[in-house]
Amino acid sequence: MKKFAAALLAFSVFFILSCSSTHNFINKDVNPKSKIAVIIGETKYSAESASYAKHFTAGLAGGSRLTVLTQNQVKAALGTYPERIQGPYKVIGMEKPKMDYTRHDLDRLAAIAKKLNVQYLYVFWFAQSVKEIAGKDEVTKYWYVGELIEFPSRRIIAQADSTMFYFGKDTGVGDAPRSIEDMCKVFSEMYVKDIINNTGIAK
Amino acid sequence: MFYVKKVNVFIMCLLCTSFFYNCSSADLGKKYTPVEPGFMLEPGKSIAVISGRNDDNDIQLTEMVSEKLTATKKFKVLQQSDIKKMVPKYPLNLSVIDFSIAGDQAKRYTPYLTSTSKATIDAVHKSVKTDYILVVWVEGINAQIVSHYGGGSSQTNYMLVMSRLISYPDGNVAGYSARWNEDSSIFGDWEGFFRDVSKSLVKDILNKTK
Repeated sequence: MKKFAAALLAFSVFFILSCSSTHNFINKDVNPKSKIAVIIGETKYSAESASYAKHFTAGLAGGSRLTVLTQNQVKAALGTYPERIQGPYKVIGMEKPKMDYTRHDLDRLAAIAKKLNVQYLYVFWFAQSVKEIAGKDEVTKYWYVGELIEFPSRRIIAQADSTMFYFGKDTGVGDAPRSIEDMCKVFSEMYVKDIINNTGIAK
Repeated sequence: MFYVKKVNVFIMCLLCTSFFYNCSSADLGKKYTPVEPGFMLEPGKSIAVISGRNDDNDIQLTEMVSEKLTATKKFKVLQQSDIKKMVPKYPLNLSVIDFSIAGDQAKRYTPYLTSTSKATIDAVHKSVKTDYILVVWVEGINAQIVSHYGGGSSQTNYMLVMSRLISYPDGNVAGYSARWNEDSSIFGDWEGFFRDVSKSLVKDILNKTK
């Protein structure tokens, strides 16, 4: 029953993600001749954030016509990177983050875009994480917030507010992600594809 | 990372309502206590409430403690908005507490601070220049949520809150606390729980004020 339930959960989430857009697109026009950087906004889950940023950057560089800064270039230009940037959400206790765009530190992001000399930032936050355990079965879930923003106009192109996860090695769920690295690779591919397909920047 | 243990996986997967979170709250810990027995804080003095870590929970609890302390009018409380202007990188990118004390029963009931934490607090004091600095942080946070076959669910939240009160100009730890707080509600109201915990800490501090 447990393995069935875990598999059902994984299937359901993958089904939902694969059949619908992962981002909400407020605008869809992105200049493909522009420069973009992927920015980590939350430092609490450093391994997860670094892996996701690496995969997301590689996905954009490989699939879009945008010029994409590497994470090393971002770090070299910003000096102290990554640092916490106030995201458009509020977390309290163990609750799912509540979206609150009044908290969004767009000034900080604008300063980063200017320093990096890029026209777009994709900034993301792993805002909260829980590990659920049932016998030998485990799933680690992350509440994810991501945004594609144009600068200096500060125009929001896309926003994501969703959940990512990976399963423990003893949980029978087929090809679902099994590690932080797996999770970051699988979900970043899905999310990059969504951005590319909806903004007309594909190679 | 919060660890959650499910009670009923089938219900969890279908309804996402049933999970059980490991917790140990039998020992509630220590309320705010002066290091020197009989030491009482001086009303009217200035105080800055500082978040021990840059986690959202610590920052929000600190804001609530600061608000509650201001409302008592017992101290000249430096507002969080002013502290943000005075202390570089505070609160999002500054953690003054650089150790974990959860589970270490021996250290939990002492005014323990690492030398590096103390040095960071002293550096903050150079900017805020208050008579007291109260450092507040959430050392542990747990929840137990049980959903019932007949419908509905109940939730109990637990939070281990630590504090250190440093008195200046001597820079010594004058008081400290390490207290598990517990809250039961139908919907698991974390915000209400944080408000109750902040109110309780302020009340304990006022009890040790002249």
